[in-house]
Amino acid sequence: MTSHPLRQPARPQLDLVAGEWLEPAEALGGAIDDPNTGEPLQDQRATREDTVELALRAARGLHTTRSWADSPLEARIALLDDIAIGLAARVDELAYEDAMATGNGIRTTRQMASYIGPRVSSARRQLVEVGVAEDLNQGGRPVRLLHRPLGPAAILAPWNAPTFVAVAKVASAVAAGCPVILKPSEWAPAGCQIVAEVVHESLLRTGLPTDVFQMVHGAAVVGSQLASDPRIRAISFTGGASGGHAVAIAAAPHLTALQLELGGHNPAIVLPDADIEATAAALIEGMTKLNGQWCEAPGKILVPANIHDDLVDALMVTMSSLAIGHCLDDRTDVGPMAYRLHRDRLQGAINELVTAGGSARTSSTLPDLGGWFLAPTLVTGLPVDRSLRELFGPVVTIHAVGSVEEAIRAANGPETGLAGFVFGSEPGEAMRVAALIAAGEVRINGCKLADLADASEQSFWNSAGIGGHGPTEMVRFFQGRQIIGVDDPALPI
Amino acid sequence: MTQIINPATLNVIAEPRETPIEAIEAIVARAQRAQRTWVRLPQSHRIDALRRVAVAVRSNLEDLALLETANVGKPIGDSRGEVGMVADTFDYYAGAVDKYYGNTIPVDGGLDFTVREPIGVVAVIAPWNFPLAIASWNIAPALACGNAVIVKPAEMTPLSILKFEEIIREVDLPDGLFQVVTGRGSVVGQALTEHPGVGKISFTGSTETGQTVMRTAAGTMKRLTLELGGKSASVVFADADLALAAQASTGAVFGNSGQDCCARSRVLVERSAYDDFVALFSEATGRLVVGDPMNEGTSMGPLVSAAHLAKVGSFLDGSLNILSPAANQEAPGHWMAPHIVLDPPRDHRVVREEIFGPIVAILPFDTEEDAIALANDTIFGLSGSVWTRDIGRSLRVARGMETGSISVNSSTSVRIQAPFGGFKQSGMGRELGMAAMDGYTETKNIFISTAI
Repeated sequence: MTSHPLRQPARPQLDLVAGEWLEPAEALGGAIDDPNTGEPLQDQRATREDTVELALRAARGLHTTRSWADSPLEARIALLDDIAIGLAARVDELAYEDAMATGNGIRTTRQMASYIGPRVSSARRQLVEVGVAEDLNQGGRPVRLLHRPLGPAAILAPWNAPTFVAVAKVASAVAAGCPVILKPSEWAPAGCQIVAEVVHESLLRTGLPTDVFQMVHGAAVVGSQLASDPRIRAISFTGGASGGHAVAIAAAPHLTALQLELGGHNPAIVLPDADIEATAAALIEGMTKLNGQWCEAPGKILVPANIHDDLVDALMVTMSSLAIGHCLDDRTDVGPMAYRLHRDRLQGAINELVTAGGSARTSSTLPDLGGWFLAPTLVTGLPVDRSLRELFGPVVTIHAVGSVEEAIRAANGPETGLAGFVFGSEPGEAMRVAALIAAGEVRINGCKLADLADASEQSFWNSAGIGGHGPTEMVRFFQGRQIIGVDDPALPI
Repeated sequence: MTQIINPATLNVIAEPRETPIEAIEAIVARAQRAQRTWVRLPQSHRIDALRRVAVAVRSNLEDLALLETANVGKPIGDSRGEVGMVADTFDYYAGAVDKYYGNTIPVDGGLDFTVREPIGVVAVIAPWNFPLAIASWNIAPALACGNAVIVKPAEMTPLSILKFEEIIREVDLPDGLFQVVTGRGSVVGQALTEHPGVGKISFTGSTETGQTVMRTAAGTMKRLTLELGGKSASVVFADADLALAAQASTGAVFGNSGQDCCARSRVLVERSAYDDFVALFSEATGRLVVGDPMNEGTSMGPLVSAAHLAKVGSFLDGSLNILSPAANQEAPGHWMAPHIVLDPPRDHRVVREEIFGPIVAILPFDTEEDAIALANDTIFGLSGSVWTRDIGRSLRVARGMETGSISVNSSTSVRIQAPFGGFKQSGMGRELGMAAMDGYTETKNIFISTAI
């Protein structure tokens, strides 16, 4: 087996603690491999407990001095601008590492990587909008509303969009004035390594305290050490439900502020008047975008019985045109799954659905590279109450329903809450149905990833998490409000 | 390779290569050869060459101004003015070539006279705030005096000087007479400062870096002109035209977004006029427009870099009483609105250190003596203004202030014809005027015996 000509040696994985680069001292036992071929590339490593403690101490120490917490807006803006420029200069490396970590085609990861620098600028915009203080003076009485950082923040990043999500959270927390400790996913540390280099260099260049940003590595143990530590005052976790629950439990004793972005089994309701071809094209795009490994991907399709077969046929035709291949190949639409365990888990879930009476349909041939490939799969013939759990891969179930009202009932399952989709020709009816799906974001006639509007806001409903997205939500999450002012003797009570 | 960023858009606009250290040897050798040719040319030829530089600059004025604005972020009108000044500077020193001469000294036994000889090869290490203009203040007199020049622009702002190098090729100076090297001060600047073939360094920049240059230059006993930092003051008496003083004093500190070594970042106001002056100053500041430097109506562009914005921002601590009457720009870019700090403690950083950004401290004073003492209570001494209608007082205060240039009822600092430079840690030597010629020549004394 020869490796791909563009493959590079694995990027060394380093801790950044109290301004120093260190090698993470512990081996987790597993390996990060080339998802195309399965060849192991490097050991998964974790930061030692006492080193995590040093990071916590440094973050807490910095917050206590208030030199960063009370830093002027200009200092934070300068830092964010410098980071944005630094990340933009490393788009190619970020795209490569994300492709190798997730298996997503390089075409997609390049596009995602090009949004990483601008995402920092967006945090900067949020900061400027929110500000650090507002004057609420009442006549002659000074009254001030302060937007103060909650304290040291832990960012626990996912493996599916490992760098973009990490940067979005880190930039928001830094903008808010928090010292940040980032823990990348143990499956995808390389993109975050680049981020850490860029942020650290920017801190040095702008002369700001290096303890503003630290990075540690590891899996659940390190995550839990951070989440359960009382010095951490805000946690942003993005990932699966079980991880999210563990973080919530760890954070509970100290009532640490939580932002949980979890998954969802996202329904797509196809209305009787939907354009079959366009619906199929959008659904295939949605279920295979980021290899289907994105939390807002459609998971179950609810379609009137009389057009069920036509839609299945159209889906299979569209699916057959997908290029499945090496993630570093520019032509690839669907690459390998991120890692073996995940591929096996998906295959197991498909097998279960088949055991329950479904039939799994694929129309692709897999490349003979030896890696963690999985053909995009449509599971048909199951009653809708047998498809209740998120799959997180290029797999959807499709169910015939008797009426729109039945579709709406079926759409709202135990893991509905993050996203939903409606397909139909009459916008009024589609909007009506969309509003009945209990999810934070419902898109009509499309499965794109970018926000529907600049002022878009969404909460993570139901099992999808805690918190939400919005124009200033991300920065505000890392802040608390404090009002100070001179009391008014004339107040009646 | 350095990324050159437009501070108003954060776009990368160029990625120039750093001059390799190994190339410095050959660059200095070329400059030495060119200087020997240049100094032997007829005066008329040298005068004509400098005039043609001025013509070349004027005919490329818009291109140079656009580069300066894109690279530094300064308003386009300011850039055009600066490039115009570059051309005028070359014209002035073209005219100076045959008007600078020595003395005849009465001695016994013969005739004694002095001549002014060029130093040889001079290196001009230029700043990022007025990249081409300040470089030209040194390039022009250095060439006029018969030297060869190597310019190192600031790492962040090389574009206008590189363009200048390109456009004056048509002037046909001796090969190697004018060369540009690029890169970091700590590497390329250091190499020039250490090189025994370089006879003089003219450095414009921070006092801290100026001290490093001075230390390094000591190794080869180089001649030095250092134009460094400042903490200049406008002193406003109650009898002054307060409205005019307030209006002019905003320009004197917020011009070029405060990134000016002459910035009057302290305004000292006679206590009886303090409140009135603050109101007028704040009103005038509120009319300033922070925004896209390509707009004709913009008064202040962004700061030059993220690092600089962070440094300037660090002066605004929570203990200060701050007014910020003008809106800031919200788009990406290193923007900072003008800030007015009212009556801070006299030992606060904002009163004592150079800020180099759009922050002014306005302090009250009680007597003329108090004003002079406060104005002089700094390690710097570059510039300043006095505002009063009392002629005697204006002269007493102007003479009392330890500063290299001062203006009465005006906020100007620099004129091509007049010497410019600092007292104390603001530097040494003088730029501009005929005084600059002193810095680019050695005095040679010749005695001719009449005994035989």
